[in-house]
Amino acid sequence: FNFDPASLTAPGDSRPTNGNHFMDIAFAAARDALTHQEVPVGCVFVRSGRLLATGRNTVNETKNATRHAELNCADLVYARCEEAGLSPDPLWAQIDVFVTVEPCVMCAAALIELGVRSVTYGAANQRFGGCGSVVNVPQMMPSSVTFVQDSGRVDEAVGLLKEFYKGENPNAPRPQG
Amino acid sequence: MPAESKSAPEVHSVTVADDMPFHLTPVLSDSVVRALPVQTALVAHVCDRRQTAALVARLAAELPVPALAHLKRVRTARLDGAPALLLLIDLLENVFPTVGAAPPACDGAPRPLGRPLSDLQAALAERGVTAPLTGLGPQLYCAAVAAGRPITRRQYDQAAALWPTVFHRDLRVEASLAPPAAGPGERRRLLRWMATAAAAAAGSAGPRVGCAVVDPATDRLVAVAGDARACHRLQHAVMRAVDAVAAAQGGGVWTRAAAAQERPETGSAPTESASPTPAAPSSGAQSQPPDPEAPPPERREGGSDGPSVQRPPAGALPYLCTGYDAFVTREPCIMCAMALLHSRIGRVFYAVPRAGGALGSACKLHVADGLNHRFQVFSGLGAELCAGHADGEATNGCATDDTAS
Ligand SMILES: [Zn+2]
Ligand SMILES: [Zn+2]
Repeated sequence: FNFDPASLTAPGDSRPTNGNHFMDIAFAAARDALTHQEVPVGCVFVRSGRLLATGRNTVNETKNATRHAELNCADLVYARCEEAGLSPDPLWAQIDVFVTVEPCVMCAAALIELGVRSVTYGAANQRFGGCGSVVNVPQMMPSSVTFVQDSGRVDEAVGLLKEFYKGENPNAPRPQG
Repeated sequence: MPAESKSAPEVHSVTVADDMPFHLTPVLSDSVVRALPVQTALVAHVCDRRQTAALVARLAAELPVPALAHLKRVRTARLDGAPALLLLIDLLENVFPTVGAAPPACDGAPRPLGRPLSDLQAALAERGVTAPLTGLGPQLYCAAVAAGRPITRRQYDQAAALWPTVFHRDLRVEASLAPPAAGPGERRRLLRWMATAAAAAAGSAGPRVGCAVVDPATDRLVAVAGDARACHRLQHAVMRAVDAVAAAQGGGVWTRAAAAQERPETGSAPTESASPTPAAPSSGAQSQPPDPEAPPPERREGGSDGPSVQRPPAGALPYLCTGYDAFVTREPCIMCAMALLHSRIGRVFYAVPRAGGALGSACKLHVADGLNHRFQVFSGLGAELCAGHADGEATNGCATDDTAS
């Protein structure tokens, strides 16, 4: 599950990556969120078939309600490019995103702002979903980003969310995909 | 190097000219702004007034019409110059789907339909209402009535001008319709915070946008940020200000409060959340730790003289903007508007609208159905201060931006 530095430098692949393996990693990140009392959503950014960044929700840890898995991945791309002395700008359009839950309205817009190539998500997000469940952000912000639901991973994602809310304490955050 | 150690703008000394124009336009949901559409109702003349109560009771039981539930069943009006009592039967199209009557005049005056009462009895019989409606005159009429329940006083007035209407005042809606009461002091206060946001915008790396977050209970600046999207595509001014608010509470990712402790590394591989983030651009987002010497708040409610509570109780996270006001020089985009919603912002004031804006222009995220928090939005505040912000007038690129140090 480690960052592969070649993901920054290898030539971009022409087609989106087959996601099962990377979705597995996103789910591992979501489970890690659960053990840290964060909303269990995990995300992976992939480039050239290699893992570029992994993230999960850190809302409680950062006391910032916007620190969703997708934004944490984006920050990692910036940090790793800076370490490598590279500009991230040419990379975005070659990045495929795998996230366990439908990106929220904010994150859907953020992924379009970044200009990633594709976004594959598991469960729909009935509270905040930005890919059609509550608001259809891709429709409002025309872009070349493709959003796809991976219907094979819905139950797994829902199961994690249920586990989180089962043990919810009254002050825990509401779900924030 | 924490950004906030650098030349912070003199946020408390920002002044605005006394003659600065003041605008504040509430950005309201379409449901309260719109004029209610009009529909055509079928109306009969009650010529035997002793039957009125019985007729109303029968219609309520045998012919309830959900589309007319906000209307009273009878009204008085003048028919052929004489006072008359009118009974609302149903939507015209429900009784005579093919009648194709010209739309009635929208002045509330009933117009003859040119069909006799017997046609109504026949149509109702098909729907199982066979007993004759006793006490009605021989001619039928149509009338324009409001479609939909009025939510605001204005909508009620429009509806009632057509036909007597039921109205339940919603004090929350009424309060949201009017801009907050703003005497000269309050106007200066609001303009001053927009000027603070505009001052932060001047240091942007990218389009000129600024955002200030203020606690209105104490009139204290919680955080302020310029835009940095030239360095980081997601570091819009609002996103940075939200993070700076978190920093003021000991959290934050892009911004570290002056007193912020190093957060422990989480270490586990898939998390990586505590990894270093890129150096903050010069227009460093700034968070203000609570200032013990802050002047007493001007508008404190209640009699408490103790220091205001700046931190939410532990465990109440992450709604760190609860009750706060955000001042943004231009209308936020979808991402930023949703960030404010996630943070449970109280009110948002923006100076200039823009295409694609999510708080009035492209959509109204703050009153969207299906989202779990709503907030008030006002546009136009300090528009003169922020001329040119709407079209994202570029300032510095990322490479040349680090001039503040
Ligand atoms: Zn999100
Ligand atoms: Zn924005």
